[in-house]
Order: sequence, then structure tokens, then C-alpha cells
Amino acid sequence: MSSDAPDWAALQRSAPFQQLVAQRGRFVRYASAALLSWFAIFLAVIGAAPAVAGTVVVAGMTIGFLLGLSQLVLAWLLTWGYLRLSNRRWSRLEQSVRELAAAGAAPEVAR
Amino acid sequence: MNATRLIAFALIVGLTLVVTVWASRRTHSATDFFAAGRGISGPRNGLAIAGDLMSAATFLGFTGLMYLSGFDGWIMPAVTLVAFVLILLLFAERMRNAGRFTVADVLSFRLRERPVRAATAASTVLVAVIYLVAQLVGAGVLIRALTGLSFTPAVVLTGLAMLAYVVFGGMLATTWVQIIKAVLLLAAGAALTVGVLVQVGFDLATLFTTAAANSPAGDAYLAPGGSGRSFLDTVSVALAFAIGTAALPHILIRFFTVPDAKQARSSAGWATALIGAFFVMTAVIGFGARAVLPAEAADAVGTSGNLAAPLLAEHLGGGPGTVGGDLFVAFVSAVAFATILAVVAGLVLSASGAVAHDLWANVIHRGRTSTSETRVARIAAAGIGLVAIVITLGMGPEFNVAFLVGLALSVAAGANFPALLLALTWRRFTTTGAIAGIVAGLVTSVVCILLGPSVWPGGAESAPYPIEYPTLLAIPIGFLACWIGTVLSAERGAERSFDELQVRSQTGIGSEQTPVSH
Repeated sequence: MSSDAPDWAALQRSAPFQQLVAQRGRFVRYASAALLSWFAIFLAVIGAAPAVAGTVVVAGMTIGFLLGLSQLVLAWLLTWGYLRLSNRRWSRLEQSVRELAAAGAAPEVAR
Repeated sequence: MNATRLIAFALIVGLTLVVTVWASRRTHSATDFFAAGRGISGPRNGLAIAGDLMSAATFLGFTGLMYLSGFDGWIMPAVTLVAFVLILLLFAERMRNAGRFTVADVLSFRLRERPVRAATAASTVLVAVIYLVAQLVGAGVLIRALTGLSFTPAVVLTGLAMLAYVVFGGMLATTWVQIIKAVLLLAAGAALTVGVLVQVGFDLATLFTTAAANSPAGDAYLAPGGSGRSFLDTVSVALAFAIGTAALPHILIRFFTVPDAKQARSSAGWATALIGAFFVMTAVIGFGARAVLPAEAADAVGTSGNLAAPLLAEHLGGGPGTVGGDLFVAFVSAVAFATILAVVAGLVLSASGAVAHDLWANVIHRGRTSTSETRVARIAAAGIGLVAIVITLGMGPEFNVAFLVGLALSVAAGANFPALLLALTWRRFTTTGAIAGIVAGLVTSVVCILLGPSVWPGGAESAPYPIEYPTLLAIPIGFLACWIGTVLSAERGAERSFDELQVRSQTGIGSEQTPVSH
């Protein structure tokens, strides 16, 4: 590593990076939890209540089929949310950290 | 032999070889060969990622399983998109920011390079070769059923085309073959979907009610249980598709082909949108095949269900022996063939990267070698491809490939997924932890397959591990071994470089830029 390498620990402690990690991390944790819980519920219904899963609710579709379809819908929604927040908030924070790094990366440097 | 279908197949091979020649003129550096010069845009890469997932197994296999077992066939497509959301949330941008060519780049960033690279490369090659053999056996059987060409020439021709794309055209050719195939497959899927919807008068209730009425199972066709799988089998299969898919090396390396992290997340977004749409179409096609095809078709579809979609195409085109039926089934068959070609090429490329970039350049030569990585990669690709072809021919068309897919997904889920996730997110994680996790996930997967119903003599009743897929054990054991290995080791250096990895992987500072020209 060369001597003019950025001070990674300082960048890591810097305000924009901490903000980025906190905001994006929160989204990732909640989204993963929602995704995996809904996945678990789908499997639990199949295992514990196959008769319920086989009940037709609307247009010939059973509860099980709709729960499966809702997995796809949830995946789309979470993807859309992540991309929207990335473009609106997180890429600006990323940019701030990159500017800090270019400026010499002291955490005290005013933004 | 069926002339129309063979001509359609020849057109696919011709078109993809033209792409390969074009790509080979643009492939010089290692970045060109492994990462298509990092010049693929987000939407295009999204199509290619979707193409990697939409294999013949997902197109013909999933639709066939829905035709055969109704609701149970719908579970796999319904859960697979979980993997792509996990990829977007956890891996896509970080892979692009912190890696160059292989998954091992990201792992070895803060861990001791040589052991971690060797372990990751070994599991990458294992996953790729197992998956490759499964795809090639499937290809031979499918081409035989669709065209009348026998197993050996079908496998050899598929294998040679695959080697041509990778060896000469590298990632650029592989990506464009994948994009072309994805567009054709989405078009074929849409045509079949519209065809089915026209037949049922655009009424979903008619679609599902007729499908259930036509099925021997009756109303139970739309309820769980049609496949005869136990609940634990269902959970293992679901985990394999939802978690294992997220750590398949040939999918993860696609994120190295885009210019930056923004394009990486956009490609994951496109992939999720396209794959989800495709799965909705497979449901209409799978249940629709049951609703639309006459009862006699059940024998022709076969026990694997793989011919449900082609037979549906023939029926929708006007029936057997008609020009429309012949053309439509030739189109769908050629698309299935293109799918196989594109997917096997991606697999060979991921394995050749692991051999050339990880094992050869960085483990054996410690990053100091005068031989170009690209040359080694081309040789490795040819070698891996030939080995896979020989293994496939040795196993023959009767070989049960379902457990090979289970094994490949299980190694990805149990060995690759925990180590990659923890290397990116856990400050204390150590080299010992990573190696322990990779080895434990890999060994558990192999042992469970050997002790499982697919291999153990006597089947599910007498097998010590009575579940078909090892994921139920392999994933927890992989994570547990990562944790135990970390807690027991005294290593501390990895904590310091964690800051660097965090900053780099989350902001893109110091990431490999797109060359201005090449």
C-alpha cells in the first residue's frame, strides 16, 4: 500500500460514512427480515396447513398460489425501494465520502 | 430427425458464433476476458443475469413440474426471487466495488490471501463442474427428444459451441449470447403465455379450474402435496433455490462486467424484474399446458415434464403435423437449446476464472507471473469444458441429474454464502473461520448427498439422511463453522482491514475503473 493511501479508519469514522452505513444498513436489515419471514410463512403454511393453502379464493387461484405470487411482489417492492433510496440518498452520501477521501480524509474536515 | 428444428438449432449456433467472432476481436486484456472490459450497461447485464438463471431447468423444468404436480411445481419459481433480492441487498454493489474478476477477490481482500483463495476457488470449480455436467446431460437428453439427434453427438456439439464462446470470446461473447438468449426466451415465454390466455378466454378461473379438472389429482392439483415430497424436502429445495442461487459464482461474477456500483445495482434490479415476470409466465405456461393439452399428451410429456412447454407450443401452433405447430415448436426448442448453450458457457467462464486468476496467478505464483492470465484462462476453460464433456458422456443419458443440481446449489448455499456474507459484514471474521465454513459447507453437502435417497441404495426409506437436498443441514453448519473457526483463532489482522473493505465496498473508492478505451 502506498503512503498516500486514504486513511481508511478515519473515513470509516467520518460522519457521511457513518450516516450511509446506518441508513443503508437499517434498510438492508429490515428488508432481509421481511423477505425471509414472508418466505418462512409461505413454507409454514404449506407444511402446517396444506388444506388452507389449497383453498381457492379468487379467480381459481388458491391461497398457496397467491402466497407464492406475493413472494414475487414483495421482491419487486423491496428492489424498487432499495434502488429509489440508493439514487435519492445513499449515492449522495457515497459521493461525500469519496470527496473526503480525495481531500485527504481527515474526519474533522468540514463538509 | 426433425429438419425444421435442426435448421432452427443451426441458426442459433450460427448467430452465436458470429457474436463470438465479433467479441474475440475485442478481447485482449484479462479485464476484457473475465469482465467484458467492464463495459456492459446495467439493463444489459440485468438481462444477462436473468439469462443465467433462466436455464433449460427453469424454463422446461419448472413448467414441466407445474404440469405434473401443480402447486408443488410453483414453490421453486415463487421462492427463487428471494435470492436476487439478497444479491441486491448484500452483494451486487460490494462485489463490483471490492473485487476484480472472481468471488475469491472479495474474500481475500481482508483475509489471508492464499488459503482463502484456494478454498474459494476449489468450491467455485466444484459448483461449476457439477452444474455443468447436470446441464450437459440435460442438454443431450433434451436435444435427443426434440430433434432425434442421439445423445453423444448432441452433447459433443453443445460442448464444442460452449468452448468456442468462452475460449475465443471470453465474457463479452458469453454475455451477448446470454442477452440474445434471454430476449428470445422472454419472447417465447410471452408467446406461449398469450397463446394459453387466448385458449382460456383470458379468464384465470377457467385456466386453473380446467387444469385441475384435467389432472388425475383433481382439486388436489392446486394444493400442496402433488409431487409426493415430504415437508422437509420442500424446505430443503426452497432453501437451495432461495439462498444457494444467491451465491452461485457464475451469477456473482456478472457484477464485475459493469462500469460501477450504480450499474451493478441497476442490473440486479433489472434481473429481479425480468425473472419475476418470467416466473409469472412459467405459471401460466405450466398450469396452462395442463388446461390446454389433450389428455393423451401426458405420455409424451414424460415423467420429467420437460416436454410440456414444447408440446404446448406444437398444440398452440395448430397441432402435430401442421406448419404452424412445427414452426412454433421449432422456435421454442431452439430457444431451449440457446438457453443451454448460454448457461454452460457462463459456468465454464466462472470456473476458468477461479483456476487462472485465483489458483494460477495468485495462489501458485503469488501474483508474480509473466504468463498472461488470459492465456491460462483460455487453456483452463478448454480443459474444464473437455473434462465436463467426458464425464457427461461417461454418465450417459439415463443418469439422474436432479441430485447434481441439488449438490451444486447446496455447496453454494452452505460453503460460499456464509463465508462471503460474513467477510463483508462481520468485523471479527478470520481466515480460519472462512476456511472452516467453506470446508464444512462443502463436506456436509457431499456427505448428505452420499447418505441421501438419490445415491444411498434403497432410497428414502433406508437412507441415513432421508432428504434429497442437503441445504437444511449445510447452511446452518456452514455458518456455525464460520463462527467456531473465528472464535477459536487468535488472528486479529483482519479486523484492521475491515475498515478499508467497508469504506471501499460501500463507496467504490479505489475500485477498478472502466478503461477509457481498449
